[in-house]
Amino acid sequence: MCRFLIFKGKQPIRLSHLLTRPAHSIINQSFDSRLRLDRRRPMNGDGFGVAYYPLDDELSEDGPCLFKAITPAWNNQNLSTLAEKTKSDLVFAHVRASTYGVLSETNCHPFTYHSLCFMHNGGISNFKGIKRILLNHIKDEYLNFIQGSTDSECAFALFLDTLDKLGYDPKKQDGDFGNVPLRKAMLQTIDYIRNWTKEANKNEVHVEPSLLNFAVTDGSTVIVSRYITSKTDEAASLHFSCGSSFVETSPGEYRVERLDRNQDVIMVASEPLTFERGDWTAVPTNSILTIKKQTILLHPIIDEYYQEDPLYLRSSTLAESKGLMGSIPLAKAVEKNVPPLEREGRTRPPTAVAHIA
Amino acid sequence: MYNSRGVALHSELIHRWNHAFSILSIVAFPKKRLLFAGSQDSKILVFDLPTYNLIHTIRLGESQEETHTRSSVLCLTRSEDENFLFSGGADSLVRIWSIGEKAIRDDFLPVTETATVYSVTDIGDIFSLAYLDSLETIVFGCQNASLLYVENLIQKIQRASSDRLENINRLPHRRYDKFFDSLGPTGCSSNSLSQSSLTSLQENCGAAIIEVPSENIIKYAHNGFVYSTNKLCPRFNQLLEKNSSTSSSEHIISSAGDGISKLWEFSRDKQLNTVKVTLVNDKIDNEDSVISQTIEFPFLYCGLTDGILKIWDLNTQQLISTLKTKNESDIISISVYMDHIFAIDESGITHFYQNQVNHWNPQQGKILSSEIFNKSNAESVSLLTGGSDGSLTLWDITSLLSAVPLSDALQINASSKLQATNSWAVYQPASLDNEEMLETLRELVSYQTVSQCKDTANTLSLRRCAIYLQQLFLKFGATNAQLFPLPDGGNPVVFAYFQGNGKGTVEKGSKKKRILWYGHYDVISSGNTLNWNTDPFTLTCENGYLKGRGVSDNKGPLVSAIHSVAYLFQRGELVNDVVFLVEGSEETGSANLKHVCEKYHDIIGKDIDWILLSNSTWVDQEHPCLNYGLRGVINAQIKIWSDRPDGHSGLNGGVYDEPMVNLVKIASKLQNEQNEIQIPNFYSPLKDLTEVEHERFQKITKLANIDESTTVEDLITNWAKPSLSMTTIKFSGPGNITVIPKSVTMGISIRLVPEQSVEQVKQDLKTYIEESFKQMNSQNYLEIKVLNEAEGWLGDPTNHAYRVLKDEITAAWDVEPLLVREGGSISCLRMLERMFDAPAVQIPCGQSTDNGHLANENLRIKNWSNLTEILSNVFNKL
Repeated sequence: MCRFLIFKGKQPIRLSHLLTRPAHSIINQSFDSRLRLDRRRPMNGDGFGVAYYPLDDELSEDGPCLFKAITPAWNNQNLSTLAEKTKSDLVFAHVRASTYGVLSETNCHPFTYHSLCFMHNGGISNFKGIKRILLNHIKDEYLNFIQGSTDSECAFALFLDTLDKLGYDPKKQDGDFGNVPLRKAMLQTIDYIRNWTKEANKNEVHVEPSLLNFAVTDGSTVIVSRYITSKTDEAASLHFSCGSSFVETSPGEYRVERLDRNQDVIMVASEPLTFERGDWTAVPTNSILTIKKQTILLHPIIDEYYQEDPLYLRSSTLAESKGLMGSIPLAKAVEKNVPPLEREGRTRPPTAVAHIA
Repeated sequence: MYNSRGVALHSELIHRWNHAFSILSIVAFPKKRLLFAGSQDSKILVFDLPTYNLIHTIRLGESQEETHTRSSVLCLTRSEDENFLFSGGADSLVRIWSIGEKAIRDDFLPVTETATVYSVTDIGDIFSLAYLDSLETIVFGCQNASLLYVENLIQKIQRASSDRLENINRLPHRRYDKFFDSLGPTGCSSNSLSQSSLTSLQENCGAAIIEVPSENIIKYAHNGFVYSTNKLCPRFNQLLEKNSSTSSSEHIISSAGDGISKLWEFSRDKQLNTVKVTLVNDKIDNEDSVISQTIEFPFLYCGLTDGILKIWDLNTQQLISTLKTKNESDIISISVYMDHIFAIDESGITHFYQNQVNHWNPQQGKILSSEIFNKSNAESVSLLTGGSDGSLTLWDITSLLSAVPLSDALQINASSKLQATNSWAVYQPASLDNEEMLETLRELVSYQTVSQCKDTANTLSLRRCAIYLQQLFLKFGATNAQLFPLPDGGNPVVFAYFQGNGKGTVEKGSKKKRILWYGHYDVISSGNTLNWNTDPFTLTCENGYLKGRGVSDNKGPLVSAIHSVAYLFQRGELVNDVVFLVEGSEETGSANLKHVCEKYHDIIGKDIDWILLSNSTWVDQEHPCLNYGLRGVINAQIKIWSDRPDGHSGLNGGVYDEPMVNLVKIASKLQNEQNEIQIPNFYSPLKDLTEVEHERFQKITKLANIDESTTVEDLITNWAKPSLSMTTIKFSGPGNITVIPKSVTMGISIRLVPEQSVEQVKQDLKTYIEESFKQMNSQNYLEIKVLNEAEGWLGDPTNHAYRVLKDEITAAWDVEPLLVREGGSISCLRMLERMFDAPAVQIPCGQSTDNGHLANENLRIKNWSNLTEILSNVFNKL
């Protein structure tokens, strides 16, 4: 039941506005996650991590600042202080509920490599079955980069190796790889995992799909995937929101103000931070979201798991059972006569469902 | 406000309204004299235009709260008949309102919400709307990069409201909510809020609820937020579809955060009674997010981030111009009215027109929306802007549009232009009547098509002129008329094809001929307008003469050719096939014409029999001529430079090799004391003038009214002998007599005769100069650059076409034409002959006093109308 949050702004934001203050911030989500179907492990208590890119030119050299701890995020006094006194225009934050790997700081997301920063929400299916293939595939320098024991870190190593083999040096200090190479490397990484697990699961009767919500940035471009190796199941939840500013309307309650087409504030999160349903839009399953400068781009990932029919309803049971499905919290006033919207979590009227079936 | 020339420009503030929240979208209903403004706080404000009163407020959503921003109105549009208003916004819903007639006495306006359109997919905000009236289809662009549409809307609304029961069934009565119905940490569901979802059951709902069906969702129509969808006026369909034109289709252009502008065709499937969408093209890449766009056919204006504005030609998908606002912030909104561009960014309004830029800040915080409309009386034009401070301002820009500084006043006046634009779709019969032809020529001359000027105003004029020609050909009934884009984005070549439809005089067994008419629509700059007696870009008819830039070179003769062919065609009397190839870069050397001819060879036609053109004048004022020879040309630059900077003759004189000295020595070797050109082999291909030609020349000196001292020898030297002229010398440094220039460049212009090969002479010239330079053992560097070239041309004045022309000219003028050659060059002539393997015929139109390229260009109307008459016979007799 991991959660992640990405912020990218034209202007820097105080981290507390993202992490600690909002009633539905990921820290608060970690103990009061609105979707509590995962009864076994109701809390995202297995550590957290925040990576932010400093504003100062001197400090921004060679990647972000990284702060990780294995204590539950809501109990960390250092985090509260730090968040209150730090500003950044590009933030990656993650709270973890371990699915693979022990509780240790090296297993906490985000992971960084020079200018690059990476995190994952979900899990690679049958990772034990492909771990050796993956490790054999990558160059030594990325193999040696792995310190922890998670599938996510291996996926990052694979991403670095892929970027390297595409002809870009991941050690590049100032990042700035451009959105096309990063997206390409992300797609290729997903492709490897998809093919290897498919091969490894060949003889299995019942296989769970991989849930691959990856996020990577080089300090300027952000690439986030929402992906599942299934044609019928829903991927782990992922929403985005953008607008001109992120404002606190009353203590703990925030809104994304949208005045015009400017995307001065962009947030991508497993679970929305505000109580306004209109503020958030779901990233379509099996697609890649790119933040290029301050613009959001959306690209489909077209393979055997892609659904052509835009109205096809994927089943969210799997993602929910893993605690990977967040929904949009609602504000007090609900409009009475608006038709059903999937993003609100409301079901479709039976007639409408019937015509799809 | 003042423009750069200090001329006061007026855009008067007529009215200002204030609202508490930002105005995000505006749409005007000029016929009903209403104004609708969508606000951030989920309202649509309705203003009465004559009284400027707020007469109605539409609230969106059924929230109890007085103000809420959940349904911010991001976009508005209307049906053409102004009976429907469409709104879209932050709540992912398109709402449709029917707008009645306002009661005269009490300002009451009947507004009814007739339908709500939604999708079960999470489309996010709706940024853009377009309503296709003829298909009753609403198209909207969304945040999740998709484009959705609902066809047969009126029908669907009627059906939905007549079938209440089913309608109620489809309402979201049963709503399960993951959030509210989920269990808290303690295993209980959260309580307080879930009540509201229970009470949300509603029995009655006036408006129809329409779901967008799966097949009407274009997923990933873009890869970014679809910020704009604009409808293309249906009367331009014909231009876009080149050959066919189906009446039951409409086009929209969508632009998005991914920087791509796409053209979509919506057409009705008559059998299924549905509308299907095809992507026509997606070649327009702005390379940056397109925040706003607008269309004034044939141009697409895209407002991008950082204050950049790109203008595209929709016909050829070429980028024509890039403009930039001073402030370099995102162009949030863009409105265009007859070439006047109003780009809105956070700093205010930037007005681009011709080469002027004006900027003013209407003090509205950040401006978020704009709209231009004609008031119902059509005389005045208004610009509306909505701001982040909730203000909505109405400006009268009528005087701004007409307040053009003196030298630019030569432009077409706005209202006549509008009428011309609106009449495009009307089929117009061609006539040989001077009046009709004058109308065509008047329009053509009004386009300032100076191909040597690369600025936006001229570039747009050239494009508009090309479109006008294409439109004209289609109007006259051309089977095909299209624009061939140039690879470098230059002015397109207009192509048109008239298929012969007359039985005429084609003898049995002899094949129908295919004739190519070559012309050009670009002109030379007018130069200083003070030297003109009339306005160069307004056709003036005085004392039997046409006056204006291009009347002689080459717009006048072009109109003659077009009208003569169209006239025959429309009467069903055109015997042969005629194709027109009209380029826009003749005056700059026809650089890409060859490329276009190669690329579109199949469309132009492989089996061309004759190439005709009229691109020169008589040798005098009285004698009609037929031209059968042109000289070729090589214009080259010889540059010599040294490593050292500019020197001083006292300090450096005599120490080093000086570039100027090198150049003069080389120049002195180009000709000897007898003025014979010293380039090796230069004269060897030359042949003596035949006896026949000699006689022709003699006849000219006898008959033509030219300078009496001109001898046959002079004519031969000018027309049939090569020459070399040294035309320019440019050097570095201040030009002080003691300064030794670091580099010098000399221009030479060599005229060639048809016997000489351009390639050979070029090669010999280069080798000769390089050899001469080498002999000097200079430390300096040499570069020879050929700027442009043309082959010489010699036609056969005894062939069939010349004979036919000779007869026709004799018949028209009562005197036999003189057979002449010319000392000048037309660069594309030999290329066309080779490309289509057909002989060319050059038919001079005007008199020697036409002043082509000079001030007061003119053409005698008699020459012009006679040419039309001659051509209408020639096209059939070839």
